[in-house]
Amino acid sequence: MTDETLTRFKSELNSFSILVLMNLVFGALVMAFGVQFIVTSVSGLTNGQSLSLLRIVAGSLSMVCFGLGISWIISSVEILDGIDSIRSEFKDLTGPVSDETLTSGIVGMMAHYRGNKKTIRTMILVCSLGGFCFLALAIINSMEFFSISLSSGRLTLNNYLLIPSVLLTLGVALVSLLSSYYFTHFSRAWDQRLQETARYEDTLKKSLGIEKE
Amino acid sequence: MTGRRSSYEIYWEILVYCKSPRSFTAIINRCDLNSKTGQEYLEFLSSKGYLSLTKEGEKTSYVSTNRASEYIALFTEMYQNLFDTIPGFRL
Repeated sequence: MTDETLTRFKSELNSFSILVLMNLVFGALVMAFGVQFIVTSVSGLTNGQSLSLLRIVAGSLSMVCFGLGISWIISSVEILDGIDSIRSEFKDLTGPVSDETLTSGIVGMMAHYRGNKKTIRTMILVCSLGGFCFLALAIINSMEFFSISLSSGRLTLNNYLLIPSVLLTLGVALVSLLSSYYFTHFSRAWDQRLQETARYEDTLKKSLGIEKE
Repeated sequence: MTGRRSSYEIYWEILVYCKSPRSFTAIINRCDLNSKTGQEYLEFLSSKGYLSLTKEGEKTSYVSTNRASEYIALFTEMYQNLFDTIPGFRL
């Protein structure tokens, strides 16, 4: 049983580490994009451009994205910190792993999840909010540089250089929403395990007479 | 091991670590406990017959009893079962 369980445990640990690492990178990107949009909005104003409603909305969203980016990075680092120690413990092991070592890893992961449950919940929320904010930013930015002629029904792109920027923003939005989905998936599996351990504790208490007095 | 562990997880850690005789300081360091809670856990496990005290001169050590093996085996089986019965997470 240990080999199969070990493979599952390691694979889950690796998947979660990749997800958190990816989040760290995208958190940094979100923060950078937020700053970039704020600078663009402000520099537009100093160049004498008018203060349109669209610009105000884009500026406000950029600030929200910047804040979300910071919160995203902090949450990712907190989660990664605990996982890394468990992961490196198993990475350095060569040869067959004992039942106790594997169980120790499972207990560690369980304790880590219990301790970071709130942070993971925040992460799900931050990723969803970030995703929607970036989606809105991408739409607003593309609206600013596309013009539609109602009479001829023609769509004109005013600035080709903005295509990569809009595509990147859309990419970040997609990754944010995907992260939220995967974190929810991860959280669901571990919540189920936590429930199961609560049931196990009853069994341990009853069958072995271990009960803290 | 850090994070939020349940009492049963701490019992398991202490009992596994005490398969060979260990001093109080070694146990609380390894299991990341403060001396007050460490003392409580050790007293509880000793009172239930899961740990026995051995004295060699001035040194007092704790060692897991045969009864502890049952608890360790049951706990190990249950926790490994978590990965066999519940669908896991994968990217």
